[in-house]
Amino acid sequence: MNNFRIPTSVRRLCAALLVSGSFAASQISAQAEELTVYSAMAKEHFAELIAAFQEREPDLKINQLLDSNGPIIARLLAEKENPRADIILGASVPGLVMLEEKGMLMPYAPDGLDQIKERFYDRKSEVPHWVGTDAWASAVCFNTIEGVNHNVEEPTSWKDLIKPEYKGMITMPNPNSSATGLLAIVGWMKIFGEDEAWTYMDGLHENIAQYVHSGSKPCRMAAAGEAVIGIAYPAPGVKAINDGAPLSVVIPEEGVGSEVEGVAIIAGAGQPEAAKRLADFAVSQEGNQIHNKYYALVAREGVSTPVPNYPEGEEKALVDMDFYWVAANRDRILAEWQKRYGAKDEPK
Amino acid sequence: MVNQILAAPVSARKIRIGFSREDILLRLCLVALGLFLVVGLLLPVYTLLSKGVQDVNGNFVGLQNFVSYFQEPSVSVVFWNSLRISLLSTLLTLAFAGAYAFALTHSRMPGRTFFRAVALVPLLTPSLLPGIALIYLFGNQGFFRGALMGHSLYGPIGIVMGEVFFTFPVALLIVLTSLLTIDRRLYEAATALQAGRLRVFFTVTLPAMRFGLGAAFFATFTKVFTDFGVPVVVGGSYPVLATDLYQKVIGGFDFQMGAVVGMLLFIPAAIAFLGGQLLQRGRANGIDGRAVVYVPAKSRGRDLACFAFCAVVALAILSVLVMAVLGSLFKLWPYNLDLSLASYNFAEHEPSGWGAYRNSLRLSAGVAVFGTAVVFFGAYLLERVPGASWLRGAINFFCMIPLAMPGMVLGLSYIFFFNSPSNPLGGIYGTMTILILSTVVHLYTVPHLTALTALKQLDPGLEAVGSSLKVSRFATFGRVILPVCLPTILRIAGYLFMNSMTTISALVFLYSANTKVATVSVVLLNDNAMLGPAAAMSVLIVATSSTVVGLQWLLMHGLLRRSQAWRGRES
Repeated sequence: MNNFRIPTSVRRLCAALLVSGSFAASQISAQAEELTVYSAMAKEHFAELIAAFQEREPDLKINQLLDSNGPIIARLLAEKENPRADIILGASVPGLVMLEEKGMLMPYAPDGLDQIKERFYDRKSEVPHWVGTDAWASAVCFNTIEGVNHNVEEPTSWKDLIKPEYKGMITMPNPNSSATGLLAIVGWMKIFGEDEAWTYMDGLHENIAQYVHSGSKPCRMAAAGEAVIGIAYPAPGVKAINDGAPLSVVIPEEGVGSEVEGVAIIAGAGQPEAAKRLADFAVSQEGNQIHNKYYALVAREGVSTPVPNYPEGEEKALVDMDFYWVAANRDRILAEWQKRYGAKDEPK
Repeated sequence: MVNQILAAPVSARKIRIGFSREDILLRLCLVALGLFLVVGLLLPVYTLLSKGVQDVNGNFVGLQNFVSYFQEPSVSVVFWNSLRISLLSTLLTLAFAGAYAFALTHSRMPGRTFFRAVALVPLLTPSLLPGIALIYLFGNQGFFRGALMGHSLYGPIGIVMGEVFFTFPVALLIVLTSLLTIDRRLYEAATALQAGRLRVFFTVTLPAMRFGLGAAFFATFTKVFTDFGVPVVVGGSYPVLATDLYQKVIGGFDFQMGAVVGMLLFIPAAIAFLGGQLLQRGRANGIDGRAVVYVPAKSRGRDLACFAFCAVVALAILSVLVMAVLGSLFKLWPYNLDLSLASYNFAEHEPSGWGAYRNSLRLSAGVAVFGTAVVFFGAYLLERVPGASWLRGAINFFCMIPLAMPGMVLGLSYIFFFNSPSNPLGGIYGTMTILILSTVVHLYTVPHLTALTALKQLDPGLEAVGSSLKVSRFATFGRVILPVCLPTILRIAGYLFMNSMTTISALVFLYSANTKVATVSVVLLNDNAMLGPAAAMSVLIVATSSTVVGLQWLLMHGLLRRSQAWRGRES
């Protein structure tokens, strides 16, 4: 019989295996107070809000996942059986309504709900499933230097954008992944009526250079001159102007669709108490003052400081949107959109 | 592989000696390896495949999903787009790589070592990097946008350019190997028979390259067809399967169709893989022992032409890299080209900041340690432990599957498998463990083959000597096999580390709030048109993988010289 002894190097090998295994396993065990936040907010906004919250709660460990609205909702749906997130911050309301209908949100009335404007929270339920933080509207970003280079005027209306001189200069977000893209489309449907909106988009499609994944990309592309015009929302454009990009943010004269983004606690959250504290904070006066640095329109009454370089007249141009209609018709609109414009460079 | 299965019964002679404890332990290890592959590969993929033939409510619908996919012309165009792009990129890559390899082996131009090294640079980059660099070079504000003559970079042009860059070294290495094995005596015979230069090229060089080119074709095709990094950056609105899969699953919550697209991604890759395997089988008797290495004769014109060609290609490769570095340093591209390090201040641009990069390091270290251990010990069990031949045959076959398995398909199947609430292993979902596991499985085949090759070269008598000296197999493994194979082990660890740094495909579906890695961060930054920070993160990845390769090289050539002295010369 062989003498059965395992030599050092094999032992080391096993040790390495064990170490790497336990190193990995150590991450499974949840620590006491660890809040997992999913968010589709603009990055700077989210970072400032979380930093302010963290100051109040220095012991809380916060895991953050930030992506476009579509991916965040997709992830929540994928994890439905087995939720990983405790709270979702800054998701578009149609998305939240969708989650609510699947029973994935926990009703909660944050402190100070009575200070929140009417259209900014879930009024269908007795205890709201979601509460808005801020609202934003569609807008058009226009690169003034590239405008001069290409010899085109700054557009002032949605109808301007289908003029042939803008051919190949416009980017907009793909509504399949981006709430901003979907908002622009439902806004046109509200303004022009659904049939005419599709005709409008057929014309616009001729001028589109790219449909992009994320809602903040079109304005940043316009800011970098990769595109001349971006259809998106004001915040990233305003940020780019403040950073020195040759950009102007236009509110088209026909009016703009608006959308509320809000906060909601996930049903079955592992840390509901910490999640409630974050929800309270997002709805609080301090939280709303932070939202107000990025959005002219926030949920709480009486918080409205003008944002530097934010386009004027947004509030006047707002077209009232029905979130429930959007949530109910989303799939149909997206399917039709995909059929018409899904493959931009499809060989003719 | 086949040899293995045939050879095994011979070595396991029918003289039954009772199992010792050690034999049982070895068999248990083998079973554990099999289980590892079943859980990490077969079950997830099975879950995915079954999703593809179910409707939303989980009823079996056969191939209905595929039929409806191909009936929708605006949807299935994506599949043909992918096919077209892959064929075009593959042919271009082969043309460049073939000519480059020819120049390296069949000319005496100066700087051959340098050119060879430059050509391998793309191996160190994530496939996102060429896309980002191309935007700086040929984008709507790019430095050389005029070169595209008014065509847009975003779409097929950009994808093909990026893919050619990305796959060039892979094709080159395969073709190079085939060219290096040409027997010089064939050329001598041809010259003696007074064949003209062209004739020699067509009758000697080209036939010898045929297998190399064929193998390179299949390898390149698979790589392009399943690549996600290039099209996600410069694909614009030109949909290909990989970006469509991302869009469907991440954007549209459509897991059913995601499974169908995943399988469409897998099938051509699998066919290409089988093609490559068949090709190798036909190539058993390439060289005989008396073959002489070809040394090209002097020829000024040819050398000059080769030099010019290689210089242009090398310049193109380097300019992509340099452009990415420069791009990461511009203050506000394209309006303010002052240099600054602002893009590297990741906390400004992404919530995870430098955390993503640290996660990448943790992932790569984890994969290198855990992966090397599993791969090498696994290969040892398969190659040098007698008995249980059917089990070894099966495991050997499983080990080959990851090569044909697109990373995105693997990632998707992991979501289906590990995120199901009934899965007892569900706890690893969303942790670093699942990233490490998926990456080890995704990268399994190449290091496995490397380890097998190294182990095959060792004298089969080593264990026999060991057991006649009454030393356990584990002792032989630890005291003889491991030290002798140290260079191979280092090479495997280096390969795993580098590829974990640059891989994106499986991870894009699997990362979670606190396990976001650097390549995912690049995708998200690019999604937000933050080109500078995306370039900066890519440059960081390249710098890290180059450092690791450098370290590995130093170790191999310095420290190991002593332990490998018995070989006479480092091979």
